[in-house]
Amino acid sequence: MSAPPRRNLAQRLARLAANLVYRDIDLQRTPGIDLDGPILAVANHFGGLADAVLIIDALPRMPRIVARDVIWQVPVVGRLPATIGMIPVHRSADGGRASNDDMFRSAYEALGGDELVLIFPEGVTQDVPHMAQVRSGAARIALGARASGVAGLRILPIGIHYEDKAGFRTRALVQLGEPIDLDAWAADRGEVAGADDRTAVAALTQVIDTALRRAAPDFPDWASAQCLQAAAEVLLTDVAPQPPAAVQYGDLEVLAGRLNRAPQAAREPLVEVAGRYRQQVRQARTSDLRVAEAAGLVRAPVGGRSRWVFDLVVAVLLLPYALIGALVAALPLLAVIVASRWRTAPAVRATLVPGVALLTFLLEWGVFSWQSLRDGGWDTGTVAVLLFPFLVGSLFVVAERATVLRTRWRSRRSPAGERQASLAALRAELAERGWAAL
Amino acid sequence: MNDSPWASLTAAVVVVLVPMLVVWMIVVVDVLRQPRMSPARKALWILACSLVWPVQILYLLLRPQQGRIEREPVRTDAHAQLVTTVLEREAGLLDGADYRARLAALRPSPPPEPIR
Repeated sequence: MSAPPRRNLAQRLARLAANLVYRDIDLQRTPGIDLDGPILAVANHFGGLADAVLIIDALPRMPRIVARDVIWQVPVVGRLPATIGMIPVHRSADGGRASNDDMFRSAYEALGGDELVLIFPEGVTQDVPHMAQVRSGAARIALGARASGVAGLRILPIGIHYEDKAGFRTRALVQLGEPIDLDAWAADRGEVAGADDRTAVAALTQVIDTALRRAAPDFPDWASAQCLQAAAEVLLTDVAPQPPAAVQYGDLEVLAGRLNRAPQAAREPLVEVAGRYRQQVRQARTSDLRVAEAAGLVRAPVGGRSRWVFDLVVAVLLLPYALIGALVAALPLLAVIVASRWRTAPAVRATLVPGVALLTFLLEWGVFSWQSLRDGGWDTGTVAVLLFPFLVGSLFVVAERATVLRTRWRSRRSPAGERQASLAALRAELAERGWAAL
Repeated sequence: MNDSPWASLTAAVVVVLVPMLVVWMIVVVDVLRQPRMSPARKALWILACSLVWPVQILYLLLRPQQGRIEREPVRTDAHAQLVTTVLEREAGLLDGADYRARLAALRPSPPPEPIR
């Protein structure tokens, strides 16, 4: 089913924003996942607007997003939610006393029309690396929709992971969990009533909570998250005799999440050893790959030296265009940098950055094209429309290649002697514990 | 400053023509990679974009939408194999024994001698 034009436009803009704000977006899912038919997607809510933008970019269909009604009350912006088919939910915490009957009815109708409905069942955004308690709203929508005749409904858990949720041009992961087949779940339980069946709502909420915590980041604290990522990097390096020069963020997060779910007796010593290893690697100004290479466990990365040269050549060739890009997009860049460093909660910045980036870059693109059209006619105007994204893209490519080259240069040292022996021994212990915990 | 026609031409080529050619190539590759577009339609878009450059803007506005899940190629590298094994285990598609067997197959046994 094709979405109405306004929702289609919103989908295009969200995908544009996702590619503008994030350098790399990984997508992880179990193979053969089927996303046809009515789906209730449930996602963790670490990043405000950024969460919705990433989910829209990942999914094949534009979701109907269930969101707090306070968004409808924001001047100007408040007109957008209704236009793109969002469904308002009233919360007593926001001072609302209205009934949510309309919200449930809209969600049932959408699911009855084989649409995809998205809800953030924690109900709040937060700045810790674990989820808040999952509320009962998603279970009530699912059970109510089933009772109202929606067949074949599945609940899709979606985990959103950020390298730096308030940053610009950072990395993110969208992890699709295994869908919960509601009919099969209800059949296993015996007879299940609708959204008013409190026992069924509580049981389904628990199932959703467990499934979502498997897909989403759920670390006790930031330090543990970083240590488990270090352990995950060691395991990934181990499985590739000639590894790539960089490990994908999504791969790291999936393995770190799995290690985090290991029994406490295995996880705690793993975190401790990983913490020591991470610290020693940083002190030696090297990388896990270098340590593994020096220990003879892996060969040099695929295309190691030629990759350096390639990155350098690309950066040099695109440099003139990147400089022009920096000039024509100076104002939007400045606006995004200010937004990403604004002194406010990271979750708020994660809403500000995609919004400001999309708005300012589109505005600048329009102004640049209009001025060129006015001053130079249709030919120049056409060139300006096509040239603006090329120049901005060149700027991003050059800046990111420069960062990669600088990182590689900083961690170029291969450890030797006693330091290498110490690192290799610690790495071997970490790998042993990591494989056992996996 | 050199005001010769050659200097202007060089500047035009470097600043405008080269980027426009790159954009045109990106558009052509994008058209060719569209999975649900018929060959005749692809040929028409490429012809139109090549002959009338503003059509490229039209194409970029109207190009079929795809979610990341549809447009990302399936990876088969060693890292992806390990991650897929973990995801399949978490989804309940692998039992404990199969999972351990898959991990053992992926994990290199400590090499008897370092690779040189």
